[in-house]
Amino acid sequence: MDKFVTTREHDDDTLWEDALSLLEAYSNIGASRRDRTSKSDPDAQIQKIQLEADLWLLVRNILSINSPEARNREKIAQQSRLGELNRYSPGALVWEAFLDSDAIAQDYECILDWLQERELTTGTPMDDIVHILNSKTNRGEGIWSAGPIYTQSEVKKQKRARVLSSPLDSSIPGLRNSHTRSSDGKPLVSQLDPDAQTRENAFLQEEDEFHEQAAWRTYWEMLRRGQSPGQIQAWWAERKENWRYAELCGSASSQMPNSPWLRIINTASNPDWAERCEILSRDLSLDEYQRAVYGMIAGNVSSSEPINQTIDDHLFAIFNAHLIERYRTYTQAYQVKLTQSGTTTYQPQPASKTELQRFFTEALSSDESRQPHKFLQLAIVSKNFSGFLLEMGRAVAQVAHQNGLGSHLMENDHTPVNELALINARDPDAIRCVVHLQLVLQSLGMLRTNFVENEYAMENNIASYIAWLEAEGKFDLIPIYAAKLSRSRGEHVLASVLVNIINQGERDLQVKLIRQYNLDMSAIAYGVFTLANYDAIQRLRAADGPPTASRITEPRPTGNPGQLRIKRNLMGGDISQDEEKAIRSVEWYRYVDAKRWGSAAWSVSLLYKVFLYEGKFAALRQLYSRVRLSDVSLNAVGMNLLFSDKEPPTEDVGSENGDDDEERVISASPIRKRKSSSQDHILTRAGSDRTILALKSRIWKELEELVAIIDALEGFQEIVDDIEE
Amino acid sequence: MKRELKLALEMVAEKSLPLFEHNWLCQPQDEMEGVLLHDLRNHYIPDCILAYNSTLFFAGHALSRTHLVECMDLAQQVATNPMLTAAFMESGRMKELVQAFALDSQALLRANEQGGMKQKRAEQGNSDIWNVTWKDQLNANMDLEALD
Repeated sequence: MDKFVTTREHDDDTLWEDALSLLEAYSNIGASRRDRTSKSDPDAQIQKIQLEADLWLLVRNILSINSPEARNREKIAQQSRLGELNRYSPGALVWEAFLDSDAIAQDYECILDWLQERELTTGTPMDDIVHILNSKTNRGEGIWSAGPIYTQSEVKKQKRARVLSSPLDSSIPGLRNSHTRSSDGKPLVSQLDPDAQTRENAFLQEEDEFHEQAAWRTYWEMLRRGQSPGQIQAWWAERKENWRYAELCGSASSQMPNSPWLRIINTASNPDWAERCEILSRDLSLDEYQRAVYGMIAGNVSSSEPINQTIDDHLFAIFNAHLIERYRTYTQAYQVKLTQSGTTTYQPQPASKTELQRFFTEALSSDESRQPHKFLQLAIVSKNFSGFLLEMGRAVAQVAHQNGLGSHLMENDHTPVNELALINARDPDAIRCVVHLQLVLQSLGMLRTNFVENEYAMENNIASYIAWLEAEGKFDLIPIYAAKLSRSRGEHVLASVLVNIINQGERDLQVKLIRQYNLDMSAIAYGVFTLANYDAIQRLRAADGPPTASRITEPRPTGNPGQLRIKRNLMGGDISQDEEKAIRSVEWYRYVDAKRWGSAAWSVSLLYKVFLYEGKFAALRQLYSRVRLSDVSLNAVGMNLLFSDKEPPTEDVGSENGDDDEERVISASPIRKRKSSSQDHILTRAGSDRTILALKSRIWKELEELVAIIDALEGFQEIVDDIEE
Repeated sequence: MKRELKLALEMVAEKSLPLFEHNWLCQPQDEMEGVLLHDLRNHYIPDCILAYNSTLFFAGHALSRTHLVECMDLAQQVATNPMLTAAFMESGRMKELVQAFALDSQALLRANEQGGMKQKRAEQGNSDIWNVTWKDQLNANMDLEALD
């Protein structure tokens, strides 16, 4: 899934390209997952996958706006585009110039686009909405009768009654009393133009009022879905209410783009109309959808508040208003440029954050934000990646320590975090998104300060994903993610995972992957050992006095007191979990290299010492049979170190400098004793010839021999017991 | 059954070889290891030697008397290896060792008395001495206790 290697510079264009195509690939994976699962899974699951796929695209688009190349283009556009415009430039050209010079506006446009697309693909389908509305207006199926037909029939009735050939006039005496709504007696309009209600201070028939409301609702829904002017026009033309389109969006000409932003372009070129819409959007006597439509055109956020149902609706209103505001500023600059020649550059304003901030605080406490991925979506549209990732990093640590999953991979974090972060930290899908988002952003250099300040918490995200992979048994994916961690953390995390891998094939695969990703297998093996045996090492170090092990012999029940026998079943039986883990941990030493042979030898002999000291005989037998010096050394350094050529020279080797990498071994080993200032500890001596290596593992060899003796003695005793019985 | 016993005995003999090497478990790589190895030697070596001795003793009865002679060799090995003697001395188990060897020699004596002495005689060399000196086991034990 992730073949993304971060060795390139952060401003490398190809890196950005790769990042963008990677995000696209993530989105495609999401989409194909959706296609695969759409048959049986519950609706919520499909929506979640869909949102994830969509979110990856959104991230991709937002990032592409912020790529160094795009930034460059923006700079150039700011310098030149305004100068290229003249008074005859069509609105579309001004709009383009505006977008090119204003990256923040591009962000907004991109997010709006995305919100429209989301509403179109995942919201209630338009047909359903229309269907519901139509049933209220009592118009029957399949008939698209234009306008207020119920009022129309009342008007016709009046005309017939009064035998009029000219239009019915509201000033006709008595009309106001007779031409009324039957339900509540309110006066009806005498004419059917859109303005009649206001002019005559009269009403429509109830069904027609519904129809009118429905029309506004439909209109709003269409704008919310970003339908193109062409589509909207066609929609109303089909219903013979063409005027509705013309009223609001102005005309689309061949020069104008068939884009949802035409309404913004047209409105900005007509400030009076914009002002009128603004006033109408605040007119509380109007239908709420009508106000919302006006608000959308004028960029008034508050007018749509009563009807916004989802977070997306709110976001749409806010970004829409911001975009309109920014375009207005641009057209003002454009106007200034037309009157004063010479100004050719345009400096966009900083992004206005207050409205968004206010909304985010509100949104974060709403129930909707608890839905899967909503928290992520809010983070993306607010572009607050670093804060979000940090919050998640802390949350996953807390969750890990609550439910135990992954608690071995990270320390708890006690910084209070948002409740939403905690909810999301329990969702493996969310964690997957978070970790991949983080990896992409990190490789693009966008999280540098975050990592400087909070590396541990940030890396928790990766560690927690690794914990999930571990729980799912997807061990083969773990090394690549561990390679993304800082060196020591990666080694620690891998070591914690590896200690639980028993299957030999799986181990070999891990080792292969670990080497492939350039991780230090020897250091990891040592990490596995220290993690599994930390307590034992401490115990042994604190040990004072003779071994606590019991004797391995006992007097014979019959016979002479001087004759001892090995205790019955001395080395048999089960071993404890800790012992099993300890033995497993040293099994990894077959993968170390000669340079680290010293630490391997130190570790295994230490384990022997612990078991011998504490009398863990069953564990001793397991250790003896599973981790043979001959076997491990053959695997690790390619020679059987049971056999040493000769006693090593003790004088000349000491003068060589130890390898820096092996410092760790020194610090981990018990108190050192330097025989002379020029001679290093045996275990840290450089050199990889047989003599040196065998010397390093001599204690291991001898302790192994001791256990072999006990083992053989017990073997003999068992046969004796058989005979005697 | 005898074959198995024999194989097991061979295994014990083979694995026990390092016991008699000089410097075995005596070359610590640092001070702390030195202390620990010392403790482990004192804890395990006497048991190992005694158990080894029992093994030979049993084999001497079950397989062949020659193993009883090996017991005598074992005694000599211990006596001449300072590391081994030290392990017994320091763990306070010298008495057990002496008792065990006394039993060995007694057994060997009886075995020799019972028969087959002639063909073994040449190899056994100094075992004649044992035959004479250690007849009274009770007496011997008292002497040995004085040793401790």
